[in-house]
Amino acid sequence: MQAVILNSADKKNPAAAGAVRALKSRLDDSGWSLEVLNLAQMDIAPCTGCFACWTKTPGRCIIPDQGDLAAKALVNSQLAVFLTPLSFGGYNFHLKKALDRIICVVSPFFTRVRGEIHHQKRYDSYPKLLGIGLCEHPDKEAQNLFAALVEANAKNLHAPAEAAITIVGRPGGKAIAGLVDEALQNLAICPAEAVL
Amino acid sequence: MTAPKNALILIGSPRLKKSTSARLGAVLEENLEKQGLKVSTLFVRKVFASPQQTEDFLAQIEASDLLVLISPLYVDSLPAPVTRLLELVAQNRKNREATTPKLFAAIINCGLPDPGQNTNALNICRIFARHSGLVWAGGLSLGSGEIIGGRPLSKAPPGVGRIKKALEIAAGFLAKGQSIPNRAQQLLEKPLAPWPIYLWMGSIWFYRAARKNKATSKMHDKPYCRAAPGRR
Repeated sequence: MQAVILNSADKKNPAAAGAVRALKSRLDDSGWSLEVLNLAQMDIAPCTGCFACWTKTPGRCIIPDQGDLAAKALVNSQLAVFLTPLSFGGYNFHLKKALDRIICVVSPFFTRVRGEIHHQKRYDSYPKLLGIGLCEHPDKEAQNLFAALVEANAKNLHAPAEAAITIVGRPGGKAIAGLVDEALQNLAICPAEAVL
Repeated sequence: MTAPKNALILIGSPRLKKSTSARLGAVLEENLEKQGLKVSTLFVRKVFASPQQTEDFLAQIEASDLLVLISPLYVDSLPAPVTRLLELVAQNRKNREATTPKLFAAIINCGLPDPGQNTNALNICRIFARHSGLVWAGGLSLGSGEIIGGRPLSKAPPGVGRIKKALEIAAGFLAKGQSIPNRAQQLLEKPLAPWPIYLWMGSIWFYRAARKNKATSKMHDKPYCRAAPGRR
């Protein structure tokens, strides 16, 4: 089984580092392979809204940079983790840049997903989605919005399941691991005995 | 709140002048000017073209009484450059001394029929306003935006009359320093076209665009599948 972390936090962010460590440890224990993409260090240009990835080179963005790495990793994984400092309850610029470029993983045609109209699948399967938001101070409104956004993305990206957690402040490794464990159990990724 | 004297409209679409966002902006600008406001329009994509342009933009923000973001919806929220812009503005206003309150409103349009899909983006704008010391003046949420398809509203199909009316109402309230009322949004709740027809037309549009690019046979390709290149 394969997992990818789309990490848009700064290298020095201790909460992000703690979340990556916890995920690595838990997924390793359960026999998963893990790829980490540090988006802030990658060359990814913003989407230009040209639709070429649907009508010219279907399934592939025409911008020649590292933007395709996130899309490739996503469709070849069973778990995708969006790890981001919260930006007004949403994803920060670096994660958003990568996500805007992954619409090529769905088709331009339409279907219904959980009662809403979205784009059809391009691939047979898509990863489960785990959103991990980081914020300095508690902000219920922003944290709730983050969960709603992850749920909306899960519909858009045909994720079979999704979960969202927020790490507030700079908790210790144990506290972060506890939050990660709970999320992985909710996603039925790691059996309970593996994380105890 | 005091009535604003000038307004800055921020267009979030990377498609610039030919975007649906810019066309909506043109109608809003016209209506705000009718109310006596001095209005400028900026394209978010151009704000980051050079450090000087970024600096000029921040100065323009501070000189404006009313800010209106008009943006498409990208993957359930605001496009990346708009996110960057909001982060920049919030950072710049963080330790600023209280000045005359500024109003901030947002108009989000999406290609899918349900305007409700813009809710998360509007909520991001609302929280941004709180973080940046701006007064949230509400928003408008438009579905089926591709009906406008980057054309001036005067050349778009008859149903868009309701969009023009909603923008007129919004401009009237914003010009008085008030929030956009619900009745403006109510005009946008009813689909601009029956959704099965809209989706059928959308599919035809994508198919035709692919045919022009000689790519129709590839429309269902799965190029990123590592296990077996091509179809999976």
